[in-house]
Amino acid sequence: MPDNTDKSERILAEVKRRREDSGTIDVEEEKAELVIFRLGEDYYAFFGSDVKEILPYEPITFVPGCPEYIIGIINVRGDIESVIDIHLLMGLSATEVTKKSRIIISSKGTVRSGILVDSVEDVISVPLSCLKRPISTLDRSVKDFSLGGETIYQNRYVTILDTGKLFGKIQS
Amino acid sequence: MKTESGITGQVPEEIRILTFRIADVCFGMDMDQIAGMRSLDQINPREYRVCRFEEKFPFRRQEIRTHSGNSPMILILNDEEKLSGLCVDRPENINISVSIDSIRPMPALIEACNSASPIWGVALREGQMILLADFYKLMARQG
Repeated sequence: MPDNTDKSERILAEVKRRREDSGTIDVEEEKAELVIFRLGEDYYAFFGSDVKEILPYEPITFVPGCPEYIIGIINVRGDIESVIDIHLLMGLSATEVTKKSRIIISSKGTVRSGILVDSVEDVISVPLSCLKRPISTLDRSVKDFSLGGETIYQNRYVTILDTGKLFGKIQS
Repeated sequence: MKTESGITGQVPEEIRILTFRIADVCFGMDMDQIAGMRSLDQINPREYRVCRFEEKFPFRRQEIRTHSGNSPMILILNDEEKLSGLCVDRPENINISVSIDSIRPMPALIEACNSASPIWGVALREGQMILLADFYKLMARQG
């Protein structure tokens, strides 16, 4: 009669050996966190590392003398942040504020600003390998701010925007 | 005293400001830059160069309304050489104290695209944002 007392241990050892032989290695694939938001009917994203906070819409204090795409300033717990209308910066018509509107506080380098978007849809983590080159038909005004990548979210293309390019255009 | 930016002179711990409102935006001016305040009928228009704030600094897409019941006042610039004044609705607060610690610089993006602006900072007072305007720079601005 075979000795079954160590059967499970023997099986487990064999499983491990075979896995080692097959060269199967679990690799934690590098991922990027994306904050997905909407502008009109289109989906866009910022890298999560560039986003500090997402705020509900609040009244924005107008500052005279600014370009039209700078809506004004808000007080975030004692810090004054500018708020950009990304629609106008990208050459679209002005943002219409709704209950879903959000202000994304974003920072890149030493520059920090709020960006008014129509809604924040989700915060997701995607493997870097899932970020594809943007489709060539991308609108020029969007392409100027694109990070050169896009992904799919709920069967829709999501263009990843570079906050550094957005801020750079304002500062230039 | 010399600061990192090379600006010399004593920095006070507080300033006293006068506040007024245009299109629901609250502005404040350092009382040291204001020589006095007059009503319109106390000013000789041939003697003083008077303008409105929004003539110097256009408010895009904003409707500027003079609040009914308020008679406009002229803030006289504290400058012996130039007799000039700024016409505003009746000021809200006169000679209120603002601590230096409650003043914030304008955000970097606004400073970058509006570097010659007379608005030099934001005072936080009782939950309100007051845009601090430099009276001299405002009056020197081409309208």
